[in-house]
Amino acid sequence: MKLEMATFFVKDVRFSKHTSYDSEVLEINKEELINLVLEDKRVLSADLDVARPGEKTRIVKLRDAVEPRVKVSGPGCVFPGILGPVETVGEGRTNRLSGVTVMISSEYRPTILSGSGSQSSVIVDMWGQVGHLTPFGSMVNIVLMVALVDGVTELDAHAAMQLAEFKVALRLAETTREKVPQDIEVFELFRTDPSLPRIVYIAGATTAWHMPHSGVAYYGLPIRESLPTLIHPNEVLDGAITKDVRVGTGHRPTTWSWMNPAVILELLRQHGKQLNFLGVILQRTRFETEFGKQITAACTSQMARLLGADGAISTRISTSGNNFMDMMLTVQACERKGVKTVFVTAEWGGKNGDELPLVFYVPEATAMVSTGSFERDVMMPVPDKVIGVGDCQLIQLTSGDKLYPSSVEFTLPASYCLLDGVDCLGRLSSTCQQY
Amino acid sequence: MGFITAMSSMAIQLKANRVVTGTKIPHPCGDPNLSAEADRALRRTIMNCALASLQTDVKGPTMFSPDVTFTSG
Repeated sequence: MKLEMATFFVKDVRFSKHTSYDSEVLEINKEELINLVLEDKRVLSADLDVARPGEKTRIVKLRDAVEPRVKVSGPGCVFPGILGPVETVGEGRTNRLSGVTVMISSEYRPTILSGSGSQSSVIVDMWGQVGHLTPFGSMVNIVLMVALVDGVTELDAHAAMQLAEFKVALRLAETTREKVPQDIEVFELFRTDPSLPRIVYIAGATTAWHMPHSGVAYYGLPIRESLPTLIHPNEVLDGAITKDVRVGTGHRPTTWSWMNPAVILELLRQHGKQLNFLGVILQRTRFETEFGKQITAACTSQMARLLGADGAISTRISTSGNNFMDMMLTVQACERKGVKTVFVTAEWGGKNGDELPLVFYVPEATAMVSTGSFERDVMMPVPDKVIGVGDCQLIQLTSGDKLYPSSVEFTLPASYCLLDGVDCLGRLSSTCQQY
Repeated sequence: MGFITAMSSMAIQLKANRVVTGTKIPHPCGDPNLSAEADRALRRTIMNCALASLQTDVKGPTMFSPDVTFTSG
């Protein structure tokens, strides 16, 4: 399975009469894109705006972001099972627009009003310190503003909002179809030098069985209480993993992050050079008994051993202590089976960094990479402009939460109030210093 | 004090003295999937284990496991 990822850089996005791409500029016909979204009868109204790095712009009521990609050769499509039939992806050529995202700021009348299954939203700032806390402060973001009709179910709300962002992203990527890319990267797990260390990636994916959408989907199918699944890294690059779009939270990676998975990309690039990349174990986590947690740990580590792994790198999504335990027990089980494991995770630590950084540990976890604490306050300065669906004077991030006035100075309680504000997949944009 | 929790090894690490293994994180002290009678029996088993733990002298964090068969994750 060979995947050519063809990159087309985008430095700016301009409104125009035609949607087209040329010389690193993406021109968009606003009306055409809005009409594309309005085709869905679940959508009441749609609008679109652009936010650029350095502008004092705040984007609110955000639920997800996606990178425009289109499959130009090979089986299937980008977002298989959602934008097209279920067909194994990861082969042929995929075109991507780099440096630009399609974001969705949306609202609907929820039917779940409290608890972990309820909808939520987050914020992105395009300038200053807060702009650096998410990947989106350094990209041009095309913000879709979508309101849904009354009476949609929670799962329908997810599907309608996801389809809106995916369809617009696909339309934008289509502009590259006949163009020459600036860069082509080839990803393939070819047979390689047997003396290289054999490495597997364990992608911990927290899902909840009791929610309308479990949180993480594979080919559009929400994963529930499954045991680990072995997948090809190229599938992830073609959008095989997606999320619950109702839940906009920095706790969980956006679709954009799943399409640009830092550990997978680096392992693919080092394949045949420093190591032999064996594949991705997609591990469902958040079992509700220690019995279940022990089984997922045993099964995942056994899969790594059967693959002949010398080493594993694991990450987790969601900052809950529940899935943290599953991941720690997996580290322990891997190490006991002779698979050296590095666990990459964000940490707790409290407001001042003097509380427990980890809620559970095993003595076998001897190599860990911290992607930073997610519990620090975030000071939000005064913006010049606020982009978001509907009335954005006062914004509420989660059901029952307090209201924040979006255009004056205020403090957010944690970085998970920002889109991709927690570094779950190890992009490591944060640094630390000893003091 | 006795502490009933489904994440018992975490509670041991956090230095709880008497840790009683509960059924499941959302319902540590019973199981709504069972019939009312069976649920009551299960709750009684866990509570008896918890009461027994209170009558046991411990030297540091100690795990008490009720006689429960786990059938779900």
